[in-house]
Amino acid sequence: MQEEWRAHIDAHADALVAGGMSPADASNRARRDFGDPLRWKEQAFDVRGVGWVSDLGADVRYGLRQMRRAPLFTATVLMTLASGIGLNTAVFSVIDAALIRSLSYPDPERMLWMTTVNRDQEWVNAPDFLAWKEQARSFDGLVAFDIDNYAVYTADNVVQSRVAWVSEDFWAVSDARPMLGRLPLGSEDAVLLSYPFFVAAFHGDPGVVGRAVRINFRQATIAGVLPAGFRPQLTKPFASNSLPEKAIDAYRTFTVPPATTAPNGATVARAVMVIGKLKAGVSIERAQADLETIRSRIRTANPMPPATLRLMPLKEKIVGHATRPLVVLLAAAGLVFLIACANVAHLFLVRASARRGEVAIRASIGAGRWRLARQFFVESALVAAAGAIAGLVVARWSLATIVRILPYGVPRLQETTLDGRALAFAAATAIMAALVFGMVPVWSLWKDDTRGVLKQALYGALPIGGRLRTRATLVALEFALTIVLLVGAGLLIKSLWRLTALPDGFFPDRIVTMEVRFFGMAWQDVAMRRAHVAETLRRVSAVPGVRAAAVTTNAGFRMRLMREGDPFPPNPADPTAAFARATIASAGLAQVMGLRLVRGRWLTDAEPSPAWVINEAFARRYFGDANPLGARFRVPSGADSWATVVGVVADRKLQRLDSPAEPEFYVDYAHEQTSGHAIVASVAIDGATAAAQVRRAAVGVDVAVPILEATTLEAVLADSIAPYRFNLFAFGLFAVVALLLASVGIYGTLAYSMSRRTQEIGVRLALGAARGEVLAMVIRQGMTVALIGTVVGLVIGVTMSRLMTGLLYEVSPSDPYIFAAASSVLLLAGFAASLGPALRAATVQPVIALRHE
Amino acid sequence: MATSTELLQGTLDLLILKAVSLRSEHGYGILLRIQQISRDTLQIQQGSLYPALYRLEHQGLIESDWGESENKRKAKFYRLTAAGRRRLKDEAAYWKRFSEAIGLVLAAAPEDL
Repeated sequence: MQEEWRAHIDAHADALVAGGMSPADASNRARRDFGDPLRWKEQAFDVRGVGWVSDLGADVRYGLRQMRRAPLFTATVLMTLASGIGLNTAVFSVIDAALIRSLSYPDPERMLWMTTVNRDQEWVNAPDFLAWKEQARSFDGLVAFDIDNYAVYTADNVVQSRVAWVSEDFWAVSDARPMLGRLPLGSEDAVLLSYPFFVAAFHGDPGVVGRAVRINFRQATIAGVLPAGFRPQLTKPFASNSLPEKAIDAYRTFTVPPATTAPNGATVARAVMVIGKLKAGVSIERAQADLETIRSRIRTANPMPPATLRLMPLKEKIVGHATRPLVVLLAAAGLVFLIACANVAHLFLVRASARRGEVAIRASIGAGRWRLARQFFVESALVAAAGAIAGLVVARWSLATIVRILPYGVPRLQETTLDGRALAFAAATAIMAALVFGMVPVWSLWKDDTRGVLKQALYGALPIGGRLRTRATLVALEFALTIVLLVGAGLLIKSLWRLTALPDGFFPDRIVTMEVRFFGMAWQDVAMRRAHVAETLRRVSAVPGVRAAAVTTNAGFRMRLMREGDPFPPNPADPTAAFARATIASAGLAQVMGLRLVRGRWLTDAEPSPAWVINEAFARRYFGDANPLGARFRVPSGADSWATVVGVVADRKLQRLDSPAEPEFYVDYAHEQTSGHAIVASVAIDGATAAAQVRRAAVGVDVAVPILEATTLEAVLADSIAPYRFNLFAFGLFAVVALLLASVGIYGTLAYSMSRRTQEIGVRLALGAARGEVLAMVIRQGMTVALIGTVVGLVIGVTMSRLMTGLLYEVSPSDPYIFAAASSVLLLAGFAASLGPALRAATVQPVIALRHE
Repeated sequence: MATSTELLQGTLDLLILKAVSLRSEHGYGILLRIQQISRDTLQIQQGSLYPALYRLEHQGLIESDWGESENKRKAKFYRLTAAGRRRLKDEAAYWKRFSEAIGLVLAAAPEDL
């Protein structure tokens, strides 16, 4: 078209030049004769039936101009939509990955987890597993496994790595297909490396396949490398190992050992965890019956502790503990989303009534209703679309943040991607809100008497009554929802505060902890181990900055206790049997850990006979108010001689911050026989620096003992409260967003109603109202809405906070202080948001106000 | 120069159809042709030709091809289709009757009544 026209104009100019005109004049004249190209273009569009496109262009331009002209409105709607859509999508994506998507096993619905349960301890004795494996008919595969940290010796380093021992069926059940090398053969002692570990520890060198690698003190062949996506879910490591959940670095073949007999005559069986794959079409009940039959058979042959058998879908086991926090998180995100929608609705309503006059004027000068409707639709759609795009950005950002800070315990989190369905859902809802409420002014076209509205609009007296009530309701709703979030955040803050409140004299950032493990026949000799520990302690104590060093147990084991006078052998079913957590201790431990002695004395390094120090929880549980000093205990599988209680210390939570104090005892190092130790040292210098030095000192004692990692106790403890931190972060973020949105809501309502009432206020002031009265009136108006919302919200909050019971620590879900604090924060925000409009109203100049409009 | 006459609504289409019926023409050519035939009586705002051309083309009365004009410019040439030829015939007949009628009316003298 342009080309054709240009040719036309040029031809005309040529003709004019030929007629004697100068080229410049000719060109101008030709253009003039042609007329306004834009006009012809418009006519041409009409001819082609594409007029509505150019009209749409005009609507879009007009809409963009409207957005620019009301930057505050636009920015608020955008931010509201963005936070609502973004947070919701991110949370939904996390939940989708963690709860909804299935396990990464072939036929995930056939995967089971099974265990025997003795009191609250869940494990399977290896001989039981062997019997199941041999006799059960319901399974396509049964896998025994165990997970622990080991020292892996690479060519240039010793690295602490997470190793899963897996029995033979694992490879078939998980459909493992090495990307390099092969699957292990039969009973071969071999490892398969995970891809990330292969890259990190072996520099991705394919040459390592087929070579032997030393894992602690045994050599194993690296049979192959598993592909990067190989991440079959295994259950958590035994709680007694106190290991945080981490990705598995290597899978090692596991030949499940039968029961052996210890020198003292006790039967020793290895504890394993078991997963299995059901045969197609076999129900979980049938599998359970199958195993029960086998169990009753072995029980009659060889009486075993009567433990319950428990089977459940593997997915339920893996996901179960993560469900509650995620559901609460989703609920929180849902609340933010509701608030966002209410806010968007509210903002558009405010604007709608502001524009009724404009609509009336445009209708009266000939704009068609449908034409106007379309234009409003385009405007709302533009704002909503921009909001949705911003929401996408927020979603990406928050997802990245969530993935980074979520504890490993949430399954499959690393696989979370932005979920299109969630985004579509959230965006659709928010955009619907924007569209529906964006169209309100048009609706008034059909309802309103145009002339009446026009008249009122021209005189600035458009009534706002009914609409104001709608908006106030929306804002009250926002407040109600916000307080629920504030209460949730408050409860979590208090939990975290309770968790991290450390006893006096305990400075975990100044305590270095380092695991020492003895493996292999060479270390069976207790005297040798003690000599090693003594030498390590001597060297660590000599490190500059170290105040005191001691040996302890890295993870306390819960032990069955026998008190002197109890029948032997103990009745395994006796529910009153004493259990307590055992911790090895040397003389320095009380000082390092800041243990406070309540009764008796602490241990020395040279106890003539076995000595225990118990904690207050132990004393309360088994002695009540009686004096425990002098009582004698032993553990069934431990030393043959009785140990005497020599002291009582105050309760401490040292292993996991989120567990309440349980019965514990400290056993003197000279008389214990376990093989897992930790060297702890209190230091006067920066913990991280000291940790490296302590490790160096310890490594030199004997290269045969792998020293895995030295770190501060603070870091260890931080791991145990990571889930709380995460919940708090998420809830805190949501609460802050909600608070902002609700404040914006109340501010918007007041500011708008004030702007409509400038004249009225002017009259009041002119008639002698004091400015203070006007101020109070406006604030009262805002606070009424806030107060109603808060009261309604508190009622909802009391109900909803019960959902959070499992997420809290030593805080009641209906903690009155938290509710009071949340209400105060909210009302304060409401007050702050009311203050601006109120001040503006109070400073109105009557003369100007009366002239207003 | 003769007094110019504003075009009556709807007559531009007829003029275009007539102009391109003589021979295939480009836009500027059509304009020149109309002015030449009407002896410069009819003034057309040049650009307004084009919406009309597109309308006629859209109705299938004329069709176009890119070609080269006499002074070596690339130009779009329009020619009449069969439908266009029929329309031209109808319209021309209508105009003939219409202008005769108008002529008669205007020529009427008091004595004719």
